[in-house]
Amino acid sequence: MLNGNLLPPESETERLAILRSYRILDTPPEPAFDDLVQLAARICQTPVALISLIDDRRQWFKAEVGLGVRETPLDRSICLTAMVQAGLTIVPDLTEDPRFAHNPLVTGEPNLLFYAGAALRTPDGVPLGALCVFDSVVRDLSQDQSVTLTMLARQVMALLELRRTIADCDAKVETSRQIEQRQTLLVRELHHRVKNTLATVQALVGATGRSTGSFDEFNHSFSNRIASLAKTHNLLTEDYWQTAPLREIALNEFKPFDESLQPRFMLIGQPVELSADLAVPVGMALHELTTNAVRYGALSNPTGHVRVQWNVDEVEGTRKLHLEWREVGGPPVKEPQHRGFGSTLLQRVLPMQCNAEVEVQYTQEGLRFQMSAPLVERRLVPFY
Amino acid sequence: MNQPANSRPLVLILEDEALIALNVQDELQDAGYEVAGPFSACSAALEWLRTTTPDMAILDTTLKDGHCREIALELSRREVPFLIYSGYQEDQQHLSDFQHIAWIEKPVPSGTLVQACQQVLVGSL
Repeated sequence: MLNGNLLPPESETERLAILRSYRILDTPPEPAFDDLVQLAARICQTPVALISLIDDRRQWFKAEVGLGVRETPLDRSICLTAMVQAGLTIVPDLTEDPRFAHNPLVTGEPNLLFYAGAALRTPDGVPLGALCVFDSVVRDLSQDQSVTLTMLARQVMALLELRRTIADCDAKVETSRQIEQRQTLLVRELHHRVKNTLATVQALVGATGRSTGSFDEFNHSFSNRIASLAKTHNLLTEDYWQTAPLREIALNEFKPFDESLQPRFMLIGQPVELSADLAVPVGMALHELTTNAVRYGALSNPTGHVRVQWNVDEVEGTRKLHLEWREVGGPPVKEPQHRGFGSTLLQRVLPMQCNAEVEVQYTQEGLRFQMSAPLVERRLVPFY
Repeated sequence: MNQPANSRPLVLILEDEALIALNVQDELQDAGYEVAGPFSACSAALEWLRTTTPDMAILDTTLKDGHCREIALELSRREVPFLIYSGYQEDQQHLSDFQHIAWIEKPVPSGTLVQACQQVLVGSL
């Protein structure tokens, strides 16, 4: 920071942050500020007037008359000196002042000789720059001109304050608009999801009814399916993006085996977030697989275990989830005679719902299930 | 309808919620209907319609690849009756120019869809 030698560096960092908070630097000219420099030039009868704001390596002019540039490097700035002085700074002959005698604006074109500047200070007294006038002759300001220039500087500051207040309000309005938009999206999504969930539950009643023999059996299977569905919905709702981590979905199903002395399951795979379109069917599939393993497979005896392994790869811009469920150490399995809801879900629902390729194998070791499905990348809520 | 007495009416199902689709399929098949599909995308249903015309159709409004409007237009062109089975009330606006559409809002009590199909086929819905 070139101006560090005039101000202590730590307060200069703070000052620059305050200057930036006005969001004024590099904005286009505005008539209200242009009028104020015109007024300053007319009242002081000078050819040049500027609203100069001191940035870290330059002075930038919000408005100027008679100079023809929007900024200069800081080594040419006289306002940098003026803004840290109390009151009005008047230099009748710049060539006579050792601080400015070698300034290129003084020694060369436009050969400025006279300077008067009133500091622009925030209500807390932090200097941002100056409203200043230049002339190419040696001269002074009258009492009236001095007082008016000081008042105009306060007007510049009042405008800057107003501008900042409006910018803050705009930012707040924008934020609440975004929040409102997100809320509308979520309410609509919630409505759809509730309707869909009810229709899904209804379909589950039908499907469970078709594949169970007694009311007790129906009640048991059905309530467990609903409980599993509810857990997946919990995970989806907890997350800002309305996605659920695959690992957590699987852990929900394996919770009863958490405390077992012998490890009953292994989950191997990178963190992957599933959107509702995939999380719900995959959660249901894992539930059916677990239920089946507890009744007939690797979790039906004390020694078996389940290995769930997944990975994600990308083919032609589409990310695909590959998931494998492998049971080891259970009793020998064979292909069931009767197709229950579980196999309907795995072999018909998953392909239809998730565009999944699935394979179910009854191997010597135990059941093996594999699926590959494209990840749904649609973001439900906006990013901000 | 000039159906042979022993024929099973062919119903096209367009529905992208697989569980719901399979349940509708089961219900209809149990009631003596033939089912085409269920199709989870409009494109798949259109492809099937290139070679076959069903006796009627059950359409969900919003599918994975968009709104069912194109299917509804194609069915109307062939004078195939259809009913809409949807949970999305606001989708009605996309079909506002179709007159007298049978609109059934998800979910409905079991048996309602089969009953509605019978009515659609005799032209009273």
